[in-house]
Amino acid sequence: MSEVWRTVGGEDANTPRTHALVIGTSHYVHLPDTPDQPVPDDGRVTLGLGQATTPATSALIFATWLDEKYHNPDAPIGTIRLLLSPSVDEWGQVDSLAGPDISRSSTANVKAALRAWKRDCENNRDNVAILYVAGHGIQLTKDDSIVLLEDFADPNENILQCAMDIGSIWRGMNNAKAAKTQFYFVDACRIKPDLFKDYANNPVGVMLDEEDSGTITAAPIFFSAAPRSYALGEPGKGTLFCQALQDCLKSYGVDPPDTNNRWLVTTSSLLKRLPVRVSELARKWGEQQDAVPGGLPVDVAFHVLKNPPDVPLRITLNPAIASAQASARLWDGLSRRTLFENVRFEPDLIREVPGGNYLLAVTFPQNQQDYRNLEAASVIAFPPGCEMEIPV
Amino acid sequence: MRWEFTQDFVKTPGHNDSGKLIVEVEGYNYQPLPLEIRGENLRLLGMARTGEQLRLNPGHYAVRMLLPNGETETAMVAVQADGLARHKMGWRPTTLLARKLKSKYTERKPIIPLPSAPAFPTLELSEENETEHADKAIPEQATTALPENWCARFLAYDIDQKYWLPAEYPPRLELQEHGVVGGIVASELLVHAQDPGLFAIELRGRAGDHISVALPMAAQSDAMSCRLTIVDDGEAIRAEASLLGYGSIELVSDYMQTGALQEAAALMEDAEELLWGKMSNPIAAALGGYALLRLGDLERLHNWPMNLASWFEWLPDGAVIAGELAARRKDHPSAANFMLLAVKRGLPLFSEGYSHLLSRLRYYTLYGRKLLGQGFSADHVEEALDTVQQWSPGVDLSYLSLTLEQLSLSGQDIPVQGPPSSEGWMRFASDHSDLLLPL
Repeated sequence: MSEVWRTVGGEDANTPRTHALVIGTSHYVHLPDTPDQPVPDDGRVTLGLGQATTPATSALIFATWLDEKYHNPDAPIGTIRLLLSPSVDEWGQVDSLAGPDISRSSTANVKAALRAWKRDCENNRDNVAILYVAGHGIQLTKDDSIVLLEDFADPNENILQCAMDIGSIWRGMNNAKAAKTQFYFVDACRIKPDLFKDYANNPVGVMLDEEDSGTITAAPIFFSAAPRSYALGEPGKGTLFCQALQDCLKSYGVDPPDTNNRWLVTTSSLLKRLPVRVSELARKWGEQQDAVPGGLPVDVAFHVLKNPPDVPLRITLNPAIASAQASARLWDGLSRRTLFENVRFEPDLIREVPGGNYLLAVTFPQNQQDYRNLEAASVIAFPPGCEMEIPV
Repeated sequence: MRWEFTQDFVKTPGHNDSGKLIVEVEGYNYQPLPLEIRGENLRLLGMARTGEQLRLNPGHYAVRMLLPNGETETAMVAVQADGLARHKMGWRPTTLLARKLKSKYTERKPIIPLPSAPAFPTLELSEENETEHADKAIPEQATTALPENWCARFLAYDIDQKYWLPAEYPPRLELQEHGVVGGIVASELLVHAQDPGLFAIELRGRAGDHISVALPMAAQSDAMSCRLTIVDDGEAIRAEASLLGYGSIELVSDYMQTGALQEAAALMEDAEELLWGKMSNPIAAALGGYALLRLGDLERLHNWPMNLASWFEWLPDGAVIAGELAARRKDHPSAANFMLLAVKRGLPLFSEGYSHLLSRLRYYTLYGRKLLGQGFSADHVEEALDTVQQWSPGVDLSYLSLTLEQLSLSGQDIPVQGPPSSEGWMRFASDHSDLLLPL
């Protein structure tokens, strides 16, 4: 099956489009529920894995973001192919996982979708290609990784027959007809390397013929592996990598306006912010998780925001005791638009404001002589956040 | 993208009444840092560097400094007609050690809220405690003893025997800083090369776990020393080696570690220059080469990787860079030969090098017959792939220097409990007078 989940804009090859292939596998047909459960003695190799919990949700969240929020005026969305194998828990958590137009992430389906996606991408060299794959996986190098598909551990197949070779796909997409701009996101629940090492060079079922022609402009790969074979994260919110990516696309990884006054998520901003955000989220769970970039991370735009992102603002007064009686006003110095006024410090002033250049006034009651009023201080709100300490 | 639109504020005159602006970094004027110049509406006008005298039309500008630790500093500055404005940005560069204690292994106070995570254990520091401690984390003088159950040994790669062996003339360790925050122990050391060749340090932490780190240094060059940062939270020991050297080498190293490849490449002077002169720096040249390869900037690489590969016979990274460059230029037979040469020289110093080496060997194992022609020996490539791949389960690609967890480069088994008994292991001395003592 290679039906598309979303198609926008028809078949006009003269108009550059973004074509996305999004795959998420939580349910593995031939794996036990948990790694410690016995498996049938039929020769299958399970690499000590059980079911995953959130990759399908993650893939759906990313595909939905592409469908609803992705904005690239140079190459608007053309097609989104979505293949999901949700876990039992996910069925109950996320209603839209049950859509009739969503194919399962079986090897046959993924092969067909991959070929169709490649053909679409090759319609126009100014197209943008996006591949997002989530499931059990392992990173071999910064360019090579393997992600397992729904029918992995089929006792009638070679061990990696039901897996994707991301490096091969990346190199296969680097051909004379390829979309010049490509993005790869690999969101893996980590396979233990010592269990995998004997199979690292076995043939992989889902690959592309590699041309590696060196004709593409940019093709970064963002890889992250959860430290456990199941992904961390709250139900319905996807993996930590998925959450971190969503945070980056919304605000955390947005670069301030470029020369055309556009707020952008770029290769460069993702290189810097995505690994930091993944680590921040993982630390909250008492874990260490990294995101490792690879591929060809030349700086190009990934997403153009239609409006400035919301930027967290934290303003602290020095001395802190002054905040008890202070109130603040924030306004845009150019348009004179007031964002807030008469706002109290509790004890910090924490707000979200659209990214921009503002002026801040801090005032104290007239009978309060200990502190000076602040008439106008410059506040530049850039992602990932703006923190200021103001002496009064 | 930003660098493509660089307006040269130094040479390009503005209006006749243009003013001048110099942005300086308080307490840090050794090296220029990348600087974005933005209009009052925050639109990017172009890129510059701190310390440069910029010519700008009168008005207000937002300047945004991109720091090597991955953070940014932004300020509004006013430029007067025919005037010279000097603006000092506040940035106190923290040591790698302080950054580690403050950010990677402890919780920062996040400005964006994090989801709750009730079911999993968290580090023992509360946010308040951490914030309080982190600012004071690293005392000027070390007051706490190094853990006596930390053990270390230096290994050197023997090209003839093709083994990592305990170093005959081990590098010298020098303690720079030491700190303890909430049970997390961290030390920053300098490692000084005493002998030419490829070195790694193996460390054993308080919990008995093990880490190996390649040391990016080269005797008789500008890269005689490197910095080693060790962090041990009682469950796992982690260590990171980074470059030392003149000029912008440390900045380039820091920018690369934080994913700021554009900034690293822009700061890097001609990498070829690092190979020449009395005090060449092959380590920095290799790092620069990896940045350019990753960015696909093959033109800036010219052909100097061939010199790096041939002049520094002990350095695997030169051969890897020359090999990867040849492969990108479709000269696969040369590429394969360089990769095989790299394997003979040991393991690359940088994780970038390990990654390129393993990827290319996998690639030639699959496609060698087609790409390499009659003279190609599949056995040689497969043997080299096995040699490199044996370390794959332990390699942590998130570090700049090649780092292996729970694997000994010596090939010896790592004892689960008790002190390591094999040759060359030393313990850290608690009184700091002599850092490593025999077990």
